[in-house]
Amino acid sequence: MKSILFILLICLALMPTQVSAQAQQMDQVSVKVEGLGCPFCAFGLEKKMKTLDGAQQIQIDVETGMMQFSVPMANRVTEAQIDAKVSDAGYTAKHIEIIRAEPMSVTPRTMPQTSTETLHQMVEDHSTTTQLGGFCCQACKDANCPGCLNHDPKACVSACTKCHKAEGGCGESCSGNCQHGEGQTCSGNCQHGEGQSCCSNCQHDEGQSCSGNCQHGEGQACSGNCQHGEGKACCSNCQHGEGQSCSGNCQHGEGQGCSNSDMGSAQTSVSTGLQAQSIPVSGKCGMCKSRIERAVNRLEGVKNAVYDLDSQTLQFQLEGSQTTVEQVRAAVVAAGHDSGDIKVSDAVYQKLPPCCKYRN
Amino acid sequence: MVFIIPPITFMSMYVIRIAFVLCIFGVLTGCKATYEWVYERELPLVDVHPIGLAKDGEQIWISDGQGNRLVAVDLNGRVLKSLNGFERPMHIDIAQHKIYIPEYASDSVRVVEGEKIGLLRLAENPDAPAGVAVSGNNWVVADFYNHRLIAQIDGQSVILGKQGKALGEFEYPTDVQFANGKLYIADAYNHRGQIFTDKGIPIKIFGEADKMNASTGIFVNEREIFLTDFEQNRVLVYDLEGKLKQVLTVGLNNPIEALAFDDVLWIANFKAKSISIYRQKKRSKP
Repeated sequence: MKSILFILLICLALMPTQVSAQAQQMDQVSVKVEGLGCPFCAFGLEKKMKTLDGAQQIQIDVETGMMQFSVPMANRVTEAQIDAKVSDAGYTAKHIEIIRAEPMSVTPRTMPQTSTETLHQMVEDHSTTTQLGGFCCQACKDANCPGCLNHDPKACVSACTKCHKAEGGCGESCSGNCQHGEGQTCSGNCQHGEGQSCCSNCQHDEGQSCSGNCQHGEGQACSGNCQHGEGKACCSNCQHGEGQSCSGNCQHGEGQGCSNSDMGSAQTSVSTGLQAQSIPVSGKCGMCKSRIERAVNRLEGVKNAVYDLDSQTLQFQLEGSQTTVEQVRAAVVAAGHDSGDIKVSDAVYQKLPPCCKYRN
Repeated sequence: MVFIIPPITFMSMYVIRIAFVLCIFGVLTGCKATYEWVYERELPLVDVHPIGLAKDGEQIWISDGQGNRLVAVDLNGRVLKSLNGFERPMHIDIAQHKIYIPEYASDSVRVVEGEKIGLLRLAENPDAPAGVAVSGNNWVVADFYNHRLIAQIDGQSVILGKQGKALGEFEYPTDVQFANGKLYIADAYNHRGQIFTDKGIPIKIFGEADKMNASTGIFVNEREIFLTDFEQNRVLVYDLEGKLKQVLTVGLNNPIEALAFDDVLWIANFKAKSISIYRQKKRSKP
């Protein structure tokens, strides 16, 4: 009897320790936030992240824009939740990484899991340069993933992890979602492997080389896919340096001057398969730029959206007829930024961080 | 000789008379020697992102928002000591050797007196207190996200202002200071300053025409108002009526606070992690 009592006592003594050890198991979250400049906004984001269920020890580094915090493992916080929380606060998360705590272990894992998070990172990076197919791979589409159908990268990753794994996460060999054609390989200037040639889906024509102002290598001539017409001078809105001469298909149209014109409405020029577009968008800081570009780059059929603060202009390219300019403007407005005569509601505007309040 | 001396004496008298008239005219018209602030040097702060500055005797306290601490330095910038464990300390103030520290993250204002640390009792909860000012028994706190000031004036708890652009309204106030019987406010995202009476009555808006982008810090002495233009790397110097006197640009990198004493001006550069030191000198040209 005494020995049973003794064992029970030992068990009782140990039980709370195990429970507290489990309670201490925390997932470690790192978020890279774009455009943070002032302490009021940076530390404000810290405050807002406290409303994420279970988030603890939130710390943000203003210099690097890195925010780190821990969340109880049991909460199984997802990237989509974190991304939504950051977005709701008016900020833009560029990278999110979750290091999952090892189950039944007090010490967190030191290596990230090669699952949803890492995979999402790859997809997210990819999404900034390609917008084909709503970020989803063909395998996801074939599997009728709800996320793919909704063209929601977060939902896609959550719902279709297996598909992406099977696809290799748009790795060396390309799927239909990449800049290159199905099964094509790429050059060092591309998103794909070194030493491989560009295909017809790249920004440049097959075998073309580029200048230092282009996305391609230094000292090389630009191809017909550049924003400006052959021999035209470039403006600050363009891919080329101010005063540089350009080739090919200018956004301002062949024979037109390349200047920072005051665009009250969308401007268009048509190139090979892509429509270069330009719309006025109000913004104020680096955070605005990140938010605007992300909102537009998410849209299906939109390529290379770049926002220029000085000219208050968003430039992008449309492929096919999936998305219209008006839809792009609607996305910009939904993100909190006026686009010419289309104004953001006061309620949405007030959600922007202080730095981003562009109305005087 | 007899012939020569009288004209010289005559001329001298004229010179004296003219000088006397000019002097009287100068006094009557307010003409006096003018001064300007001239950049002198940069004081690097190792690993300190300065936000608030406050002088206590021969030492200056700097709040390090990123490092969650307060650092005391001497007038040459040598670190004397530090106090750790604050939650995003912002624009601090010192009165009667007590340091008042608004904590942006904890929504409270801590009071440090020697070894003791207490809390300032606020009638209402702030959301991200960004600045505090104390004068005698009166104090005021800049309540950033609520676009208002929480104050205690003559023993009464009062709320000053609301979100807006009119006189007495704010858009994210970040810093406050009592001086010259008035209350001065950095109305950060209205990009301007405001002057209230020390009883909390709005008097004047200033700096609106100067196209600032986030006027985050304010300091006032007996002659001038200093307002930092955070995003555009400027500090604007106004007279006490809010008339622009000088714009400082040299050596500034996201200036967030100013502090003037004697003939020296310290400006805290948040991103550069440094202090820019300016010195007051006689203007070379009128």
